[in-house]
Amino acid sequence: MGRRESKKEATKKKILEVSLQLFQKMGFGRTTMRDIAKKCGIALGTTYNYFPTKEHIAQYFFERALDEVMERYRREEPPDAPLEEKLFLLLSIELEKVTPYEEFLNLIVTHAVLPTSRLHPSSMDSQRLKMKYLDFIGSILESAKESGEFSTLGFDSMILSAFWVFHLGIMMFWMNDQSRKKEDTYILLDKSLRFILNAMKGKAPLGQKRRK
Amino acid sequence: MGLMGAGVVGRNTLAGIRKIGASEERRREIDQKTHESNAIRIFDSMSQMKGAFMKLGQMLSLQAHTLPEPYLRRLADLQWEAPPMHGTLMRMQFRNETGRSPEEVFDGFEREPFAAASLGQVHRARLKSGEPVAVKIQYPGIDRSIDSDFANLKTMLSTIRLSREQYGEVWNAVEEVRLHFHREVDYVQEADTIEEFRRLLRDRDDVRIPRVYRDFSTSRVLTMEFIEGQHLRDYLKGKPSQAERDAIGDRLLDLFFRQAFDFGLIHADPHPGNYLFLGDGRIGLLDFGCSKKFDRAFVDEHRKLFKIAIGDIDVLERHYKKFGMITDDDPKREQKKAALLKMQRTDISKYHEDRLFDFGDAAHFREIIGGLQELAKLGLTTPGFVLYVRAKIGLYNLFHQLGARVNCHKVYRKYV
Repeated sequence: MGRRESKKEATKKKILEVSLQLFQKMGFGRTTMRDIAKKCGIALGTTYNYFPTKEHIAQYFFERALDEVMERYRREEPPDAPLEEKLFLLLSIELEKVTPYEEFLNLIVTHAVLPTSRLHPSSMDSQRLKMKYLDFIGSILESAKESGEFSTLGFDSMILSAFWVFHLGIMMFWMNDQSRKKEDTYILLDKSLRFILNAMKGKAPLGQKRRK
Repeated sequence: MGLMGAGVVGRNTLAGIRKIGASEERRREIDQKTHESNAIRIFDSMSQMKGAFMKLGQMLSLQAHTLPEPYLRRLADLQWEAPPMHGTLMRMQFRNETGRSPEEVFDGFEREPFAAASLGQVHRARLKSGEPVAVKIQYPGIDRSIDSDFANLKTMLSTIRLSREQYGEVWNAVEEVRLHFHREVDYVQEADTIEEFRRLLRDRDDVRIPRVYRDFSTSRVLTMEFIEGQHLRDYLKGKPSQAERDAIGDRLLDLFFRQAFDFGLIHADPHPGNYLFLGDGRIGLLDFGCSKKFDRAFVDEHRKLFKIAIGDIDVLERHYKKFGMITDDDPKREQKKAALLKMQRTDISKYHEDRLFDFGDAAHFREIIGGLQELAKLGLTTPGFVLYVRAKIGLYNLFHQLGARVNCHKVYRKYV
């Protein structure tokens, strides 16, 4: 990265940090690009050069978070672990990553449910991020498939979409989770991953013996 | 859970319809079948609570004429099954509890557990200062699931046809196990118990109880000294001499009386896996999640029961009358007296005879179990008594497997 790019990158990061603070303080809806520019000490026009809308800022937040999650996963992935543990690890890194921004996420979710919102899970902008995420999941599933640990049972075209919905569901559960250290989310994650993957392998879902 | 409840109720209703106009024998058969399918359905659906139900089953089977036989049989079949945690979940739980990862806290922390414990798993590690430790880590959320699971269990049990008196007994037993279970999942309480035992037994250098490392323990993580030793099966493979096995029996019986009569506090989980044989005749005691305190009155009465001369049915009867377990107009009075007398001969007589008693005798063990079941059927046991009996039977079972011969009289005289 050249000096100019790295300076640009630093400005982008600064705008993001300031925006997150403002979103958490004033609410996502009430924060304007003008507020952000002012707090950053950057001209409003320059700010628009980086982010046309505040939704773009939110998008940028998710993109960076995803990159960091994938990077950390690659570093920590236990090579011999079963698939359920690998997916558990990935999702728990995600949750850990967004923990400091929980309030911001709550604000975003109310926005993102509007079908017209750029942040809506099926908007064009979200699609790009979604594809990036699912590509990554796909590579994890693929290697499990190669080692014979996992089979899509002919659901190839659906499996990634199903995983995406599962992932969103876990996120929503986490946001509403009032248990100590949100441990219910992790119990749900652990048990549902074991349940789904065992069922796909044709085993008794939670490892109990079957009885007639 | 709701669906399962509906299933049980539905089957009971169906059975009720089938019984209309059926012969007495056919009715009993229908009841039996309904109980069996309900029992299977209820217990199979509760994988996480199996440990609790196993205890409940043991208590109920010792306690009475309470649950229909098929339920008891299914309860007795249940095995302790803590849900396994993979490395990632285990590390997360450890970090949530202690604020640091196991690798930061310990040297050589082993990711694979070496044992399953009460609703968790045990890992080997070393403290930074070098001491080998066993780190017990609990599956998340168990403590909070107890009450909801027990509420469900009570709903299920209420579909069984029982008399009001029987319900009372079942409810009491369920409640005792629920409270017991709350204590068992709290590792701080277990740490307290371990330290109490270590204090009470500090003069006994033949018994080793692990040291607790409080700095690395919480209510869901328990770090203890790792005691090197063999479990019963491996110990027996080394063909220890009769004298050595006898000495161990003697020592453990002495330890039991000391707990029951001097401390009024017993280690009530006499599973053979909770004893370690250290090779030099010393014994390691593990797993203090299940202990029971007795009040002075219980201990004194029990001491008296031991002292009653063998065959003295009048004194024996008087003893049980005090607790209202036998009354003058009791229709089962003679039956009860006979059962008590038989049990006294089977169990207590060895404490009155100054000679080696061979616990290897399988007939003795069978008679004890049969006698207890008989007492339970006749309503001659109490909830407090059940954990005590469980501990004693566990000990007899261990002696039986050891093939130990013990002069019970000599040991008993020190305490009674």
